[in-house]
Amino acid sequence: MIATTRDLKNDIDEIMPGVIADRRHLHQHPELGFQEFETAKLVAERLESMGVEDIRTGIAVTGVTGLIKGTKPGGPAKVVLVRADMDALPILEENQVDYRSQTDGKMHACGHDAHTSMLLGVGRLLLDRRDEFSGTVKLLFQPAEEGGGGARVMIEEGVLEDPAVDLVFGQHVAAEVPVGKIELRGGPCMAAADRFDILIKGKGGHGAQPHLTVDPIAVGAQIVSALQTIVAREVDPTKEAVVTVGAFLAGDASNVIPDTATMRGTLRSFDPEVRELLGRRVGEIATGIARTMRAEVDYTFLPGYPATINDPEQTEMVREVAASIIGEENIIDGALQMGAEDFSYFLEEKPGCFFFTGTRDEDKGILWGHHHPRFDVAEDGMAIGMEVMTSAVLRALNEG
Amino acid sequence: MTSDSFDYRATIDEMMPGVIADRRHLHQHPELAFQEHETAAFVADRLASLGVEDIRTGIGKTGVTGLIEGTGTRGSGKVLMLRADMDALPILEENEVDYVSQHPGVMHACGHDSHVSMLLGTTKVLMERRGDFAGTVKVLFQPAEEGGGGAKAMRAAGALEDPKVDAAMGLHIWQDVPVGQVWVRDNTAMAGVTGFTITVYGRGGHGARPDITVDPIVIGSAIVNGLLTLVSREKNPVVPAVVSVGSFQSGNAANVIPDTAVLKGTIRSVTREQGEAVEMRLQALAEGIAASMGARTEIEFGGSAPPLINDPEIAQLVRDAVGEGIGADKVSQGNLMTVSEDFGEFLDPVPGCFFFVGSRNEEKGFVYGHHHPKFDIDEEGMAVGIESMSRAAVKYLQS
Repeated sequence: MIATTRDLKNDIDEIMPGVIADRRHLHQHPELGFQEFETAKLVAERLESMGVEDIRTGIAVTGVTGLIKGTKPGGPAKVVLVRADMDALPILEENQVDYRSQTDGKMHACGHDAHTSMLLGVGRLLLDRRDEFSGTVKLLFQPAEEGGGGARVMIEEGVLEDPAVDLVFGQHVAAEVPVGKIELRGGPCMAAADRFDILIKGKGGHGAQPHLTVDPIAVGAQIVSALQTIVAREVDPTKEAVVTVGAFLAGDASNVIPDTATMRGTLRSFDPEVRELLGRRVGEIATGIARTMRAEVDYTFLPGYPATINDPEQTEMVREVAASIIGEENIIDGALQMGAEDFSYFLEEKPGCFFFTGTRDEDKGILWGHHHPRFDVAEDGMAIGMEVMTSAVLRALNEG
Repeated sequence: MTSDSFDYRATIDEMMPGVIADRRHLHQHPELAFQEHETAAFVADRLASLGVEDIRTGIGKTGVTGLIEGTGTRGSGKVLMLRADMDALPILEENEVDYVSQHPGVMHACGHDSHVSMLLGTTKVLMERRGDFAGTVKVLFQPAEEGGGGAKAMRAAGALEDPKVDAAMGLHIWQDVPVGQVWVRDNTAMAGVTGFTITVYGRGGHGARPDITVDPIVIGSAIVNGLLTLVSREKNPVVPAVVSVGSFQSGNAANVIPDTAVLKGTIRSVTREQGEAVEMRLQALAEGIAASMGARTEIEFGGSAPPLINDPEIAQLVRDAVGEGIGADKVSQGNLMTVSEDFGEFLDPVPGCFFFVGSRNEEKGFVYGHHHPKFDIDEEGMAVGIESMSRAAVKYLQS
């Protein structure tokens, strides 16, 4: 028999207490990137007890994968990867909920606790529906999304092979999106994020005798101003780019010109050519200005996550599935987001879709942004996220 | 008769081992501004044993004064103040000498140790010579010259009164001047100083969304660039001035735009009027740039001292007296300097002269500038300092 949408909603209602309990347990026990040992253990135990096959642990230190094999004969036999991230952030939680973090200074302030428990729920729902698909679902629980590039490491360790993955899906809870809504966008949706460090080497001295020094603060100020011309004058105006200096640190005393100034910044872009231009021109401008002012620069470019680029077809498929569940009026056509996400590494390799599930609930006071010490998730949104993901995966597996 | 037949050199040569011992003792035990408790106790002890009268301590926190009453008849009975500063700096000494600082992180890196011991030496000479002049020498040992406002504090505590000071003299051991030479400058010798702190209040946020922030680093940089035009475009080119930002602190993470930027800096000007004009323009410029970019600023000024302006007549008297000791060819006007000294606080209400005694000796390796962790002086210069100050004092009091 073919399960109906109603059956799925009923099943979700049934498992929701357990999903919420898992999420709150994980919220109380946050672990930082590549240290998700207890989280991974819980994941592996849950997968084991629900009957997921070929459970592999310790991938990229703490990553976990498992397989759900469809039993429906004669289908296309594709392999669909569904991913959750597991890591928390070095933030001191300021929420006063009874499931607040039990580790001071660590917090699930980006909702990865919800991602992990939702994917465990999706796993259970798909296991109960293995007769509805042929092919294979690969559940993937990833470490270190927050800057550690856990996705890249897992790919390097072969998670897209054995069995070879055809499509990839992931979702993120979104504090900006009201609960009940889904936001998504085909094509580029999240930015590439790179970092840079600029060390300006001048020559310090007495503040009253600037002529005997090479003032790194004066050089740094010129560099900050000149960097604004990259976006204003050098990037194609129809393409997106951000150059931000987030830290400018030099000197201590008011009357002493320091030897050096340190600047750190971030670069955001969607287009690979723009990305290359930003990284190159920041270095050239900093080095050139420093040279004209008699100083030297050490420029370090630290590549981060590439842009997240959804496959238009798969995104349209998810959109249709989501609209059938929550109604067309609750689908938000997403804007380009300047934040970055390492699911991009999966999407660089395989087509798929990454979407955002609303978990904002102003009535309940759940309105703080991601990475805020008071971030929280409207858990009703998790049910919708599971329903959309489960339905989308089933459809992907059943489409030619 | 020559103006002064006393054999200064012989007297001073005899006492130099003690002067050097005092200086090295002080060098080993440096104390920061307004914390010169041991130094002040040492000074008060020495003054008492020299027979100095009316010793007062705790003036302007740790300052010390004492009086040498002339018993002679020459002169009109004026009161001359001689000043030394006592404070050290928060610097880790890098010299490897046996009198290295015993307090790691605190160092006499500006020569105030030598100023104290030279003024004690000068006091000894003047005690011996008190029969040769009328009037009074007020010796003054000041705390917190290094930006702490010690001169201002002593002035506020009445150090220029009771007895009322008619003129003031001071000296600085000076590494730009070869040992054996002295600079005595007419009119302005050193710039006035005002410190400033500019806090730019922007609005922080994610580094990827500058559009919903007000970026204090971009605004702070525009202010730094703008401040440079105060010197290049706004001040009179023939009146020296300096604007330096010595500290720019904003943010920490690469991908977070911070809320604020804090810029600390210093203004130097050789005239009070221009210094005040630069201050006003700095404020207007920083506020204007910030406002035009959507931010607010708070600007504080502090740590100010007026330009150090010598009285030309007293400077000429000092130049003559110093020349009688070391030879006129060793005395010059020297350079106008943009570094500052709070002795200007005393020269504001009282005429006087502040001069520079050479301590540089390349052969002996005394080449590092003031405030350098390897700063050290050729102690021969201290004998010149004592002789110069003693001769100048006697000459002034006999006039």
